Amino acid sequence: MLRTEVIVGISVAYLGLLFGVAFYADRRADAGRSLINNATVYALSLAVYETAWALYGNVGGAATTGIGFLGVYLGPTLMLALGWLVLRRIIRISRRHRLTSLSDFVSARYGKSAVLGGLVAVIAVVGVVPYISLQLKAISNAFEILRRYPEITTPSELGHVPLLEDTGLYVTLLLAAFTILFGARHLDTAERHEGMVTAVAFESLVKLGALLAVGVFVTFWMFSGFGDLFTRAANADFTQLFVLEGHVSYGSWVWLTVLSMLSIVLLPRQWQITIVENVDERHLKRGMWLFPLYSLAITIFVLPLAAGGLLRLGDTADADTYVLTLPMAEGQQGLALLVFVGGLSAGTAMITVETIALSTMVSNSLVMPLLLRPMSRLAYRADVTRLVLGIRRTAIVLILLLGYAYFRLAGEGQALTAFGLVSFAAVAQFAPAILGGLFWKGGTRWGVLVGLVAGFAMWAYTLLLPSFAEAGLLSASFLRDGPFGIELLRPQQLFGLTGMDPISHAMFWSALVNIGGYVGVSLVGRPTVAEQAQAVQFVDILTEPAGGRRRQVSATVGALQSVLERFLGREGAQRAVRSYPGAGPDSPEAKATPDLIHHMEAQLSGSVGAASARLAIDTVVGAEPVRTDEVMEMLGEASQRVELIRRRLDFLYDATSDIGTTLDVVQTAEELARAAVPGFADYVTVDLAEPVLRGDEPALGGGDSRRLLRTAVNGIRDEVPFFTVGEVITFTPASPSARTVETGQAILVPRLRDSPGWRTVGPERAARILDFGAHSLITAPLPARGVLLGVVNFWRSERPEPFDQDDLSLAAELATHAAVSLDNARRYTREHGMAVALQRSLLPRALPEQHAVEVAYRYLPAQEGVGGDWFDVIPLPGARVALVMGDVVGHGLHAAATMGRLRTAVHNFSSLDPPPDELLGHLEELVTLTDQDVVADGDETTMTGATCLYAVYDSVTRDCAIARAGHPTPALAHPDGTVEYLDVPSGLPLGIGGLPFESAELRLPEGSRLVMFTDGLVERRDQDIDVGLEQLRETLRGADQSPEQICDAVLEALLPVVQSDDIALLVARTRVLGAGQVAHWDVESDPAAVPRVRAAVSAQLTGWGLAGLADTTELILSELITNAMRYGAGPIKVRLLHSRTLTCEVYDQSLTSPHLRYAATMDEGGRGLFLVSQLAARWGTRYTKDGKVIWAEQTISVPPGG
Amino acid sequence: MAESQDDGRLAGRLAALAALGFVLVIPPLLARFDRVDRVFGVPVLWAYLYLVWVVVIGLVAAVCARSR
Repeated sequence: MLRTEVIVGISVAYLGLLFGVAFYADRRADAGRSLINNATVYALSLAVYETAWALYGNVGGAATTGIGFLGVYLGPTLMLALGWLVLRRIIRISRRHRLTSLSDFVSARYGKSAVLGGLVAVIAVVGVVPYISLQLKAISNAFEILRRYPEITTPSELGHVPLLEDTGLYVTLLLAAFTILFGARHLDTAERHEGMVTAVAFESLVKLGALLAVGVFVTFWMFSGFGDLFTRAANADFTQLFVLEGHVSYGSWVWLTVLSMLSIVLLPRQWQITIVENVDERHLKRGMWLFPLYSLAITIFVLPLAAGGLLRLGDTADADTYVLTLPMAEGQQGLALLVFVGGLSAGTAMITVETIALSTMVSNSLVMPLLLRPMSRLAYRADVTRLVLGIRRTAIVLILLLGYAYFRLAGEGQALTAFGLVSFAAVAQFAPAILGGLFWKGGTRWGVLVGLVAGFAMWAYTLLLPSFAEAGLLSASFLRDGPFGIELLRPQQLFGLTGMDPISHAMFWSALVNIGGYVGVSLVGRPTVAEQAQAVQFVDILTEPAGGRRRQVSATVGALQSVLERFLGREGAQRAVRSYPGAGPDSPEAKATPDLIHHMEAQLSGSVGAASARLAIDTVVGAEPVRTDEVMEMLGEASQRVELIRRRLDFLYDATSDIGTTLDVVQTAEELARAAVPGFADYVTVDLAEPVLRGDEPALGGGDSRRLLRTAVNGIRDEVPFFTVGEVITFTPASPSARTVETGQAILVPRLRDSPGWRTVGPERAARILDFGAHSLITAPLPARGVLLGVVNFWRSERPEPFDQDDLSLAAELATHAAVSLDNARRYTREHGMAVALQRSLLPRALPEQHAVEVAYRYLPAQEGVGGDWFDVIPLPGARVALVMGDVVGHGLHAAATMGRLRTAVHNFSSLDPPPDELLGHLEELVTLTDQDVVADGDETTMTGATCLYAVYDSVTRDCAIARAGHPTPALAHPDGTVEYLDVPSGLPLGIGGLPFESAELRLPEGSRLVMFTDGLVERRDQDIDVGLEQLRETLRGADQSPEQICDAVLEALLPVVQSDDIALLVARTRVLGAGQVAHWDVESDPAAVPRVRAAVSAQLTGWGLAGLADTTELILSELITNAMRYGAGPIKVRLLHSRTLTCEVYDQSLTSPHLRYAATMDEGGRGLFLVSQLAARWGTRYTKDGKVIWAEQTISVPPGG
Repeated sequence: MAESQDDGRLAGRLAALAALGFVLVIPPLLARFDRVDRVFGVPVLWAYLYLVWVVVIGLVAAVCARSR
């Protein structure tokens, strides 16, 4: 079964399967459904760490040194636990600066140095080639052993075969083709290989499955479990399986652990998978435990396998091949084939990823910078894409051939484990530059250069050369006696340092010179400005927001694009331009913004490396001499500072534009509290002096006025330990608030724990605030016109950095801005309050008692201030009532005052009881005269233009007389539900002059509802007044409603959302004084008639239950009738009204008006009216169309029905 | 994007775990278990190292899960 062709066929099929997986993943990625955007896939892809070494070499190592191999897996577990501290930084830096390889990272960190990048690339290639050759050796050996089944051979028996018959060569060429297919088919700015990562994750499962299968087989099939296996091993005295002591030195154990900690990051393939191919840094969280778990699973059977191999095969097979030879010895062909596929899988994955990573380094950091030197004509070549791809492919083939050559020359007879360690030690040389560069800003290019060269040289001398010597390439005396016999220079006992194993020895020396050189040279020199700038970008990656230094250079968009096209191809360049997040360029001729240039450079840097990208971009933006460049960097430094200031200004601008959107003090304070969270502080509290909230002038700081009202609290959480809104805080003299009030300056308390003063306000609360996490405070005053309105406190709890001096001035600035808005709001509050109070005082508080109509009213001031609407209900004698509605032009205090005057005037005129048209005439006259005076005084605020409606309703006759001066006509809702707008002659607004006013007379059925209103109710800016009137009509239509209900219904239907004018609404439902409450008599002009009337009146009063008033009423009537007979003319009528009062009226047709006289003692006449005025509560005269009425009212204790 | 307090805390806890793990797998603690004995039929050192390993992995997973 295990014929050569079968093995080859299955191998090729397996590689085809891997490629198929990769191809599928690429297709998925193109469709936007990435497979690798998954934490588990990420964790599994990290298992590229497990190479063919894991499969074969570990068991070999365990057979001789027992558990000693395990450090290689414990180290990564520890390093990944540090991942959140270390790896996350590297991932974020690489993403932001588009660094696609380890050499790019080092180069970019130390001022984008091309020399450093090249050096790192060389060291990586030299250091890793032995490791690659190890994989080639493992695969080809396994193949050779397997195809000789059932014979079990050892690698040493395979001997040296001619080149063309060597399986290794063909494996190498096959893998080179495979790698190119995987990783260098096309160029991608991000240097991501989705397919490759997916394939690696897949093959990780295959190799795990293979090793677990053979482990279970050996442990539980060939032996009866762990106990049996180890008992036999103990009996056979294989102590190396049980202890380290005597087999592995503790020193090399520790070094192995440390080296593997570094390798899990610094091996080029690990860098590629962990950093470059990482899609989301949160995936690290799963990788941190899932990958160690994977390692645990894949190593769990290593020691049992070694024990099984030693027991079953012993020396008949090489321990490095036990995994393969154990199943073979048991005749398990399928299992052996599975192990072979697992080994092939592990080796292929390692070689593919490693060579892709190395080829990226070689092309980006070594070849491209050389080709792109300013002198080179290449920088101006039309299409560099093919060239870059060519370089990559050549590098892949060369690296693999180099690995093969090493394998041919030095690989024979070497134990697999030793190979890997040499590579681990080589890449560990990068650790000081990279890890130091992450946390220490002081490292310089020269420091890295010296450290790296020295460390690398030491590695080569103490580790690489001895491995050559052991392979027989150098004479053994080189190791034993030192070069040229100089004992002090013996590679494994350098300078006489003995007693250490080779690894500890090599690591001690290389770490010493590497770290020493890096730190020492860095400290002696100074970082250049470029290095400093990059150092800040790298070390502060987690705190600094995105945005690199700007380059102060100019180029057109078209020129930049053509550079990108040369490297990325037309499509790639367009993609790169499209991915620019800012506003896209208008045309190719447009000047590129520094941002765009930076973006383009970053895109390019993904493909050709940071240093090369800079060189390429320089060809179009103009390569500058080095000194100028330094100046530019310095400008960059300065512009960073400017940038910081600009950000603060932006913040201030945004914050202040959010404050003061209303004229409300509390809301303004809340806006201030909101504006600074979370951009500046985590919590903000605003405390104002109590008078400020009422609109009054505050008196803070003077004497005992140490009270502030907490007005606003805002923060990133709702549950806070601070004083809550509405609490009164009495601050102590030592508190920051008191010091702020005293000095008028903002106070900074950078560390609350170290400052006692602020706790004096309330020690318990202060403790709670500290427990809550608040650690830093700024208290800023809120000054306006030299007066302090209050203070604002900014707290930090979540943000770790305390406030600094810059923050202090920013806080003070923000507070000053806010204070102006607060003061505006305070003044508005005061003035608005005054105007409202004035108007309220001018409007009727409660309507006077009267029985003629049932009224309800509403007054709604306009939102923007008080207006000049007014209304009134005035009881008139004779069971009548006057209804008034008016509107003064304009808003504000002036309108309110004018309204007050007009209202008073109407009140006064009404006491003369003129008909409505006449009353309006008087009012007109008043307005005209007043305005003449006002205009003469130079004042322009006149009363002219005011409108007025005046209606008088008689509840006995149901007559209603209405006149209006420019006011909207009232609506009348009949008891039957119909609605009409009364046809009242319009008249002109007051003060215009011209036509006299006219009254309309109408008779209203009982229960009619007269609806009077101002234009604010029906007029809108956005709609015709007729629409409003129609709406009103609709609302009034229908069933009988009380005036209150009508008011509610009307406002609900017609109240606008934004009320720009004030609204007055008055609804009166008419009543009728019943026939039983009215009595009248005609009296002939004969004194004899008087007693008859008196008798009739007396009888009527008795009927009304008012017999007590009979005497006085008789007296009043006889006086009035006598007067009418003596001075008046025509028929005389007497009327009695029993309503709220008892009214006696005497009508005659004369127009002479009676007047009160004080009769002298001897006068015969003149006593009548005097007597009436004494007996009646009120009396008076009013004129009718055909004469006059003299009336007298007496109060009654019990009104009718009461 | 500034570093949040949660991330800083997570990094600190994990770093402490790494330090603990490192101390447990190197001498002198390691030497205490480095002897030719068996426990439950398997070598003491083997059992010890895998136990430490499992505990560290479990703790890392627990800390990561809690931070989410």
